[in-house]
Amino acid sequence: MTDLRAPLFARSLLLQAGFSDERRQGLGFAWAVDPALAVAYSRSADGFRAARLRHLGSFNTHPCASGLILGACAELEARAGAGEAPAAARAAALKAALGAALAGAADAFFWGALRPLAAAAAVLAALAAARLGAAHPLAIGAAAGLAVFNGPALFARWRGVALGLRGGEESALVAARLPVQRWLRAARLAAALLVFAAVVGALGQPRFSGSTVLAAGALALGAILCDAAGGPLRLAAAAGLVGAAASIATGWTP
Amino acid sequence: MSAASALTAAGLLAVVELDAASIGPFLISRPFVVGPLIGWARGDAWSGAVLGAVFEALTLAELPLGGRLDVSAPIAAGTAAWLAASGLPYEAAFAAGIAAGWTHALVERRLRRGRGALARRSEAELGAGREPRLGAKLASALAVQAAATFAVSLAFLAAGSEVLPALWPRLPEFVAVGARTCFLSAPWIGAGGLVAALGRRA
Repeated sequence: MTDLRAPLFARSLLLQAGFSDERRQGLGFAWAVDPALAVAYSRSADGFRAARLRHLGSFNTHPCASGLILGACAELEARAGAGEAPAAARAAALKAALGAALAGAADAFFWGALRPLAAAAAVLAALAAARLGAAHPLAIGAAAGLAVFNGPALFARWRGVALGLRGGEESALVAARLPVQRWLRAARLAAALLVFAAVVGALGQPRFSGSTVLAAGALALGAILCDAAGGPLRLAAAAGLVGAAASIATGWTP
Repeated sequence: MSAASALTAAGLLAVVELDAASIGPFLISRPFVVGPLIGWARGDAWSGAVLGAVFEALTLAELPLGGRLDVSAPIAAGTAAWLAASGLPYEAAFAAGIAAGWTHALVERRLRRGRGALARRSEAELGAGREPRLGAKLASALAVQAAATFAVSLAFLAAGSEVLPALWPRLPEFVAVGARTCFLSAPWIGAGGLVAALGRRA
């Protein structure tokens, strides 16, 4: 039996390469699942063509969560290719349902918590390496940040492919039983603490802080008003306007 | 402007930017990587790191949900890092970075609108009994994306390094003060918003 884990995992890394407003990740998904379809429908050119057509439709999920969906679809398509006709329709339904469900949890975990955690780890590692006199503190910082994100992200993708291929539809139930909310809460808490520590560390760097009073004021302003203002960039632009006005009125400079 | 350095930086950005929404993601397109990398390529990694950290803090809370794209963080950080490492005041480099990131986001939105044709063409080929080469279609999408990123980056690096050094000192004082206030407050505003949001959700 062909081991599809490596090709599905590798191709999942290009899931978004053909991202479009119309089909989202549809083209990337169709290409990623292609090796599995080729095996499943090796004795039916028409079946292979129909399956490829099915998977070209619109699809969207978080890329790190795509492994499970690819694996589960591959398993169901293998059943359909072996003669269990309803499995193809079940693959389409599973793909749509899991895509949306996993996107919510994975967006919150990978983008909302792990990405800030990685960035804060990078800043802290670079500052620590510089303080310890390491030769390449910025490279160390970047490597630390990348490791924090890519370890869990690649693991989730690989395990997802393996789980989906083994369990098919059942893998959705296994995924649903994972303590995602607990992980999410822990990751957010860790990210908040690490970002705060990175902020404190960066405040001690003259290149970053400029005026400590301005930095502290901006920090408080961001914490209170960022959401209401529609994002940090708008708030920073407003701060710039206030600074310009203060310069005209009083000759103030930061 | 050093043409070779600008071409190198634009080439690096064209490759690294693919990680933002095409390949991976591995986060190598995030400003905390792009800033020091482009700064290092220009000979001042620390200036690049400062601009990278500023754009990281500014864009970190923004979730790219459903492919949402306001400002391209890697292009903003990369452009600003290169200009700052070239000796431009940080606030001027920051402003140029915002403009570059915003322009790149516009170009990418346009590319995304056009890419639906690749899937439709594949369906038409399957309907006609031919086997579409999906990998080749993805490769062409990546090539167009990289070429567009290269063009936008190079245009802003060239314009920024030729125009801004002459223009910036001639600006009225209050404009320079406003830009500096914006630059100095931006990372802290971003970090404050992020810590508050993470704390609330945790």
